[in-house]
Amino acid sequence: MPDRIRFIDGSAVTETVASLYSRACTEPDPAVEALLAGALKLEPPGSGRDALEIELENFRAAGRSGLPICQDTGTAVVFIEMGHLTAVSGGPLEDFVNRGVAMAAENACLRSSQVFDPLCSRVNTGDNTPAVIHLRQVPGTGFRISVMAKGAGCENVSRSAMLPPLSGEEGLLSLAESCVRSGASRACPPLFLGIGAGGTLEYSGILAKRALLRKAGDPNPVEYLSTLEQRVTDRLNKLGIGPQGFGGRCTVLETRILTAPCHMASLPVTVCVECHAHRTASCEI
Amino acid sequence: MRDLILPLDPGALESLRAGEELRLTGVLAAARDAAHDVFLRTGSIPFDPSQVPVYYMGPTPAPRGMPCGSCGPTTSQRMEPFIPFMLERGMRIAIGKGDMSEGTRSLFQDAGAVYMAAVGGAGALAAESVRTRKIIALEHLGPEAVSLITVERFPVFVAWDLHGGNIFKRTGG
Repeated sequence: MPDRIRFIDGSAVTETVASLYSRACTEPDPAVEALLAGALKLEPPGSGRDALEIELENFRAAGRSGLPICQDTGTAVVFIEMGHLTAVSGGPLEDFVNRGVAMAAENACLRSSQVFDPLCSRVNTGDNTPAVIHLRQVPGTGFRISVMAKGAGCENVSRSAMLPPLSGEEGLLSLAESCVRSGASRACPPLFLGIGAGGTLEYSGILAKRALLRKAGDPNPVEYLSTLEQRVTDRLNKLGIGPQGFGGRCTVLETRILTAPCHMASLPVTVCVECHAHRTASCEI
Repeated sequence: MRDLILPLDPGALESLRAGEELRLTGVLAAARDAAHDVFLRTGSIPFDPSQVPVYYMGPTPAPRGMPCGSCGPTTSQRMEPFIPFMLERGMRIAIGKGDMSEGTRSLFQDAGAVYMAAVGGAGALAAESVRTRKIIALEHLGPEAVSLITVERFPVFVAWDLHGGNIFKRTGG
């Protein structure tokens, strides 16, 4: 007997993306807010602490007005985990996702920050499309969508490197440190770091982004990675960069690491830097 | 925390110290990369940078009934190529986010200009202090259009003062 395919109407994808994207931009994540509030308790008096207070007050301001938390409502990075027995009907998946992004930009008054041609004209696309889509097939009939509003300030200080294959945890630690040392003040700290290790050049970047989808406050299920994440966070919090780079104890709120097998001659590592607002939302259709 | 009314007189500018938290009331000119590129190429700036602080910002669209959408600062580092020109044209105050190079910091100090840091990401809170917004040039650039915004008690920090003080100095971050 052949497998039964579950069909999802494309319009459901559009509506879900629209709702997730506008929610991510306008409704602060309570788990992120809790981490910031926890950091405030440990932050000694000074400009860094004052800035952290303003970051928290801004979350409340977004709650009061419904305005986007940050004016950079980002590139919409959309992760889809699609069951092997699921199909989308009505057209290509990409079109439905992009319609959802445009719908959110219109209805939730998000900023259109995307330009058509990266090198030449740089004319704004007008509706914040296209999204960057990462599609992965998983067993079953599920359909899970996660949307991340990725601002450019923090994305611009992210970094990929092809490290010497045996440089291991130390290699990863130094890459994360050089990234944060040179660029943290421009990335709206305290930061979240998503780190992808392994795969290939481009795959380490996708892993780094996907690592950021883990819920704020949740531990890494892999024990040695959980320990390494804490080492990265602890080391970077000794730098004294602090909230907004104004000096202070908390520079990194959390580090999340994902790994994948890689070539014996390679160690691709990407450090994806994410701002304190860390705007994501996800759901299952 | 100090409340200041814009434009600042030279004495007030002189009295600022890096790390100090301020609330600004008055008019700011919002401009980003694309607008600065046009200023530099045409040699013409549609406001007086010696009187009006330049705010590196491109807002979200304003919902109906509100003067401005979310409007926090963008990264100042990207404006560095345009800063010598702006200082030459009399810019006294720039507002953005994040550190810039030591070279740019000395240009500010030599020109008697102050760099202020608004809180990056705090766009919804910034919007609460905006009373009016008027696009004055380059409307076709959308969020990068040049606008004048009137703010009341807009929160910023003194990042670089006139005496070599630097809020980022401790860290190099």
